[in-house]
Amino acid sequence: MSDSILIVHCAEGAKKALARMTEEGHELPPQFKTFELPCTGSVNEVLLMENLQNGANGVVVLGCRRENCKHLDGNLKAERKVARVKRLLSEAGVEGKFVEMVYAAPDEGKRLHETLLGYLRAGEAEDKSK
Amino acid sequence: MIVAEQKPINMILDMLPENKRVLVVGCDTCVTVCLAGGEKEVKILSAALRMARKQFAEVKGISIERQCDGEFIAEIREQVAQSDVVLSMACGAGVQMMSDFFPEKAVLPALNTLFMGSNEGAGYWLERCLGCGDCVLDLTAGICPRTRCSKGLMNGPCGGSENGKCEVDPENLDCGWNLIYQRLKSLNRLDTLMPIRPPQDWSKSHDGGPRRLIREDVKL
Repeated sequence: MSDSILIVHCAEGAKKALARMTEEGHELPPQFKTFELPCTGSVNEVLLMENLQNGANGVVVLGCRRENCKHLDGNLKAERKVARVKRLLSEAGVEGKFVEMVYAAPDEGKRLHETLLGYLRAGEAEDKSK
Repeated sequence: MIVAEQKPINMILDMLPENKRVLVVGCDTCVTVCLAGGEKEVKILSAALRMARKQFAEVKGISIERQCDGEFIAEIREQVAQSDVVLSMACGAGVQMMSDFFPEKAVLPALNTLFMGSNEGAGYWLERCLGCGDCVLDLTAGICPRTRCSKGLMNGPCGGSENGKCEVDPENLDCGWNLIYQRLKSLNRLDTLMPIRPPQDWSKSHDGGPRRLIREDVKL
């Protein structure tokens, strides 16, 4: 069931992008939950793996635009953690779970909405194909 | 510290028998520092095993202070008794100690043990000691020629030393003997390089079975 996607977002650019998305009338479906960190640089593999293990179908780590991280390179550190978890999931043959790194600037509400809905649709399509 | 790295998870999955109760045991000393087998890594690996293609009856995770010390291993007797397989995230010494302690259990290694070394920076560990049993660091300004020289030479660099780098990896690897020379020079101790050193006495290294250290003053 593609019924739960956790968005782990930073308190800077990504938070503003999520707010902008809502202000523009692009609401996220209830399948999405959000979790705020000061910076995505503090995301770790335990947080990602345990949320997937505990039922989330996917975790989207949402950080500031590349080269626009308020903490300089927090989003790039997060990208490396996400890459490791992706590799782990792939090597372990975990099916129906994903983790993705997404970057968003405060003025990208619409694009962000489309990107996030894309993950939901991909999960639903996968469910139907089973 | 002992430096290790985690085996690829598909190799770990191949080792583990299906439908069994798995206990993942971390070690809170060396392999925690090198981010291979501490409490955090236990949580990550356990979560991966719970979601993996292979099914297990149960996956539990725990970490102890040192797996190379029976005193700490004894603390998890109960958890081990309730499992079918122990997946040790310790170095090779820890895995073997666990195996000795619980001979009725399959104890499997989740890590590949690499070397004794140091943390040189974020995500970078360097081998520093071979455990050769015949330390010459007093003669080489605290830089081990057996470890830091790619050929383990005892009497200065080979022809592959150029601009302070080793021909094995000229981009990233310092010539051990250049390091020794530069440091001895700065200490005004270049004279220590003059005597010809005899070849390494490997009888003090890995020779005659597993090495043992017995101290009568500590025995009970």
